[in-house]
Order: sequence, then C-alpha cells, then structure tokens
Amino acid sequence: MSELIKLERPEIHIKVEVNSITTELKNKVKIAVQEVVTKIKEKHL
Amino acid sequence: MKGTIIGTDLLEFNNSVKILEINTNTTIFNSAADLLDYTLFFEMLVNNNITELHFISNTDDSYVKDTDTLNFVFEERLKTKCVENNITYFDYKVPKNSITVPYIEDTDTKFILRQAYDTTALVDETYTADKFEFFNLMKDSEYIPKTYINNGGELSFDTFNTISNYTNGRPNLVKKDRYPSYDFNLYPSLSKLTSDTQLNQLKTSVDNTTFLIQEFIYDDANIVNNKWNVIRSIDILYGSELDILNMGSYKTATFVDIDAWIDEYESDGITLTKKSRYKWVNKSTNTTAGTEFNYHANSESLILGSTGTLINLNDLEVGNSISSINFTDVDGITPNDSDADLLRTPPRRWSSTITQAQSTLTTESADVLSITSRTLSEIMLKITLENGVSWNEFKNTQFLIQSADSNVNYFDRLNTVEIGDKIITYNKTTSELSTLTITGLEIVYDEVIGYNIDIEPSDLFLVDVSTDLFVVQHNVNCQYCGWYACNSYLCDNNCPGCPEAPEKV
Repeated sequence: MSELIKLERPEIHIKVEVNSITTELKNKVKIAVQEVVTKIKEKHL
Repeated sequence: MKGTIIGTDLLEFNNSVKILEINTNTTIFNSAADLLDYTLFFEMLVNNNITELHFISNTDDSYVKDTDTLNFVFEERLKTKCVENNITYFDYKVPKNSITVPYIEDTDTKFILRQAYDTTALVDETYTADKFEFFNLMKDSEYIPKTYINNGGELSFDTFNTISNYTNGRPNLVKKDRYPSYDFNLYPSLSKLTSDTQLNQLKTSVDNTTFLIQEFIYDDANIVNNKWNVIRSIDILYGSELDILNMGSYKTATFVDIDAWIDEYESDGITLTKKSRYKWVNKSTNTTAGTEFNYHANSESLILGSTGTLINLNDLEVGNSISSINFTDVDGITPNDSDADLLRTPPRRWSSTITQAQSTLTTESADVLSITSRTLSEIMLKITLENGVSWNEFKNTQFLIQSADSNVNYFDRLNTVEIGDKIITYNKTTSELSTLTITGLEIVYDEVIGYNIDIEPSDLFLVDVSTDLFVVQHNVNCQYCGWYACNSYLCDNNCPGCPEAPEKV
C-alpha cells in the first residue's frame, strides 16, 4: 500500500477552548479543593 | 498505595471561587495536559519508593482529542515521567459507563492511580454520584453557592434565602439533578428570577427528591475571549490518610460566545431555553447518555434517486433505490470497501485525487435497508459555499472534501473542515467531479429532523446543493457514538457502544 498523507485535524468550530489561568487563581482553587478533602476527612477518618 | 484523580469544577466569584461539582470519572483535555504539573506527583512516588505505576482510565471519558494527536496526552506524560524516574508503567482501560475497576493487588511499591468511576469507593459513591451528599458535606463552606436542598431527610439545608443579583441581565438561579445521569436537554436548567417571591414559589414547586436549586454564580472574571469559562482543577487524592496533591487547573469555555444570541425563555417566562443555555454550559446533547444518534442528513436534504429525481428524506422508504457513485484511490480501494477505520483514521486513511476518482468513477444504485429519524434541537454549523448556497448541518456529518492546501480528497467531518477547503461535487448530467470552495462556517442553533440511512451495496449517497450538483456523503455510522473506538472516528454497525436506533418519526 502506498503511503497515505496524514490529514487528521482537530475539532475547529464546535469545540471547548482550554485557557490557562494565573498562579494566583490556581492557589485559590487549590485551597477550595483542600477544604473539600478536609471535610471528607473530618467525616470519615 | 492507591490514588484517585479528582476533577473539580469551579467558578470565580468576588475574588474567590465557588465549587460546582467534583468528579472521579473526570476528563482531561489533551490541550490541557501540558498545563498540569507532574513534578510533585512523581516526587511523591519516588519518596515513597514506588517502582510501579498502575494507571486505570476510562476509554471514552478520560480525555478529549482536541489537538492533532490521537493519543491520550496526559497518559503520555505519565509514561514519560515514569521512564525518567525508573518507574514501570502499567495501564488498564475500562469501558464507557463502567462503574467498577479491575482488581490490582496493592503493594508497598505500587501506586494504583484511577481516573475512572468506582462505585465501591467512598468518594465516588457518596460525593461524586450524589450532589445532595456533596453539598450537604460542604454546607458550612464559603466555597459553595447558596443552595436549597429539601428532600425531607438529613441532607436538607437552605442557605439560598435571597437572590443577590436581579439587575445584571444574567441568569441568577440554577436547578441541578441530584444524580449524574440527567437529561442534558433539560438540565442544568438556568433561570432569571425577578423577585424573592419567585424564589420562594420555586422552592415549593420543585421536585425536592431529585433536584437542588442554587444561586447561579455570575462574575465577569469568568468570561474569557467573550465566552463563559469554568475552572477545572485536577487533583490526586491518595493514601490511607486521604492526602491531596494538586496537579493544576485550567479553564474550559462554552461552545458559543456569551452574546451569540439573545436570551430566550421557556413558557414559564423565567427558564432559559436549551439554545440560550449553550452560552453558559459546555456540554452537548450528543455526549449525554441516551441521546446518541448516528446522524447522516436532515429534513432539508434532497437526495438523488435512482431515476434522477430528488427525494426528500421524509419520503424515503425502505426498499427504495437511490443513486450512488463509486471510485477508487491509487491502491484500488473504494470508500465502500473501506472499513470504518480505513476511511478516516491515519495513517491508513482513504484518500484520492479528483483525477484518480474521476478516472475510476462508476455510477450505481443502492437500496435503502433502513431509515430512522429523530427531531434534533442542537447547535450546528451553517456551511456556505462559493456559489452562495448555504445550509445548516451537524458537526460530524461526513463529506468528501479537498483540503485547501492540497489536491487530496478524503472524507471528513464538517467540524474539522476549514474555510477555504473545497467540497467535492458530482454533476448528475455530466458525471463530472468538481469542487466548490467553502466560504463560510459559523455556529448556529437549529431544529431539524435528522435521518440515519443504511444503504447497500454502496455507502455513498448524493445530496443536492445546486442545479445538477450534489455533494458526496458517506453513511458511515457512529459519528455520534460515545464508544471509544468511534468517538472522533468511525465504526460500523457492530459498534458495541451504539444505542438501538429509534424508529423513523
């Protein structure tokens, strides 16, 4: 078989865009998620 | 040691964040894999003398192929880091909708990392599978929205006493299903209330056994590039002490701009329609359990019958004969001979040139073996051609196209086609193949009757676009299938993930 050209392309139009966030926001997120784990621990450990 | 990847969705609010939900069967976008930090995780593995990483993931839900690679990038990064740290890598795949994971014997030198749902695990069964449980756990936290749960049991609580935002023209209330298997056509529902009286009325009328209501978290900080964004945090919960290790977080956007269209409401005057919800929610119906449909064409499509007449799909019946064509690539392979993988999956992908296809072109007829349909209200793409013809089409519809920068023809989904690409047309009078350049592709919302047709022996059918000109479509199934073997690709009628087709409406 001859070599076929790879033409695969990602979704272009109807797609979810991914955006990076700041370190400051990452830290806020991290603290919020830690609180979830803290509450799970308080209830189950 | 065992660990679970937790995906947490949040929104920014007043310089802080609010948690919307947590998931264990979470999805990591390929384009987000390099926004995560693998260092802390592997330092922890090395510090604990781990020599084997066993990674369990869900074949369908674990990642989204939103870049030009077919691979699961997050997993690739894990493999690379394992090599760097002299850790042996093992992987395990569980199918879509799996609720348990394979048994792997735990030892001191193994780390068993799970990115899949496990009904036997506490966090999964209690907190990711049941929003009543999760928000009750968090009811005293500043990190959840104002919430109303009143199922008559110990999970009930009410911190949603007043709506704080009546004036910014945005939704201010969200109604969520308690459990994950909800109908995305309806939920989460968003509303715009104008008084606390309406809030209190809603509290008394809502089905409290199944739904919770919350304040919709609105903050301009969640708008990026004119789209509403939700934060996704990826964390690993591990060990007997439930330690948490953050890998990072990123934002994911809705499909459409926040001002894509004006808000429309259901008959109650306060609940946003499904169309309007697309400005705020980034899930599509075709990825929701129970709503898959292998769309081929819609009620606006006129296909070429075997006698040269145009047939509306609503008039097409089993046993009818329609026109088809056939041609080969340089290897003598026709799109009809090609199995689903060969048709679209590189590097074996079926492709040809107009010259090659024209020199081998034959006309033939095909019989309709089945036809099914479903009324679909969805976002789709409005395609416009150089001759001014335009129509609305679903993103996964298969067309024979030619990319703008080559003379190669291949079958592709509309959602990967670019402006400037050319759509291949067949002239029913001259039997010539030619091209029409695609000059526009824009996201629209429309309601159509979608059709799935099975024809044999040919798989190609011809849809009218202009006088004597027809686009070439393939009736390959599973475009909307959630099974991993299809997903962005194709499969045949034996696809184990495809639901039973509906009857024709």
